[in-house]
Amino acid sequence: MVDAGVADRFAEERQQLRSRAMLLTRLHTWRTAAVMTLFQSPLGLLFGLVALWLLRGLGGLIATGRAGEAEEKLRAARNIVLVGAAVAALSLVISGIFAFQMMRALPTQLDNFARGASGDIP
Amino acid sequence: MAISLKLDFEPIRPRAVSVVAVVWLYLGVSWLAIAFVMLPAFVMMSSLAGSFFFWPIGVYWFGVAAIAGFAVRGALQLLQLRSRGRQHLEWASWATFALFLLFTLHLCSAFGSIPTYYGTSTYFDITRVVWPFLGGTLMSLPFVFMARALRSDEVRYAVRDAEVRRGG
Repeated sequence: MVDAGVADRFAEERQQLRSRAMLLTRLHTWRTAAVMTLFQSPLGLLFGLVALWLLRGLGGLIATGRAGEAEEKLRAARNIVLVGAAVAALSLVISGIFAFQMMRALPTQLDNFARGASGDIP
Repeated sequence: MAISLKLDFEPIRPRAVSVVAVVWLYLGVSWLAIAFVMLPAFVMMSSLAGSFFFWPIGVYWFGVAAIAGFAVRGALQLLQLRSRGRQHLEWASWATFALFLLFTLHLCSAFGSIPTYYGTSTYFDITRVVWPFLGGTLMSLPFVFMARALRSDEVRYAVRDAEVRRGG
């Protein structure tokens, strides 16, 4: 009976350590994602900064065992990062398409410029 | 061959694994998106120039896109602590480092080659390439750090333990 009690106590400690490690893993993952969203595009900067602001001090919360609070902040930061990454990726593709359109219009513009410069306007 | 991705990520990972995998996920997806736009732009610019003048840019962009596609899959596998993911991301990091260095040397050779007064030959002015070389080298260094981090004992033991737990 004594042995079983000792084993149970360690199992609880192990479980606590495990849940802290899980939270820390999620913290590292979403903090990195927030930093990458920040650099992804100008729109991503807004979302990334808000997410990083939400994630500050989370390591301390996890270390002191306030898992519920940490979980809540992590969830909010994750949602912001996901929306921010989607918006940033979309803006990246749209700006690329605009750049492509500008490049496509380049021959016409150069042609107009050349005709204007030589005074040969029909 | 059907591509199947199991998204059951490992709940506990070393910090280096999470950081490198997420960085590569972002880089991979962004580079693929940009390459998707750059491909028609490259073809159009080549046809506008009437020659294959832009081929070095095309080679670098397609190299980056190929590495990006490879790395996105590797990053998803590394998040699950699979040994193949670690290996693929290590290769992708070294390949990107090599590609960035090649691009830097290519730019340096273009910036540093100055035609002589009569235009019959060129000479190399090393003072013009110091900053491009430093910039390019600094940009490629993070990939060396990532490759080294993926080879660390902590990461390799974690991946090995996960594989053993999975029974693989």
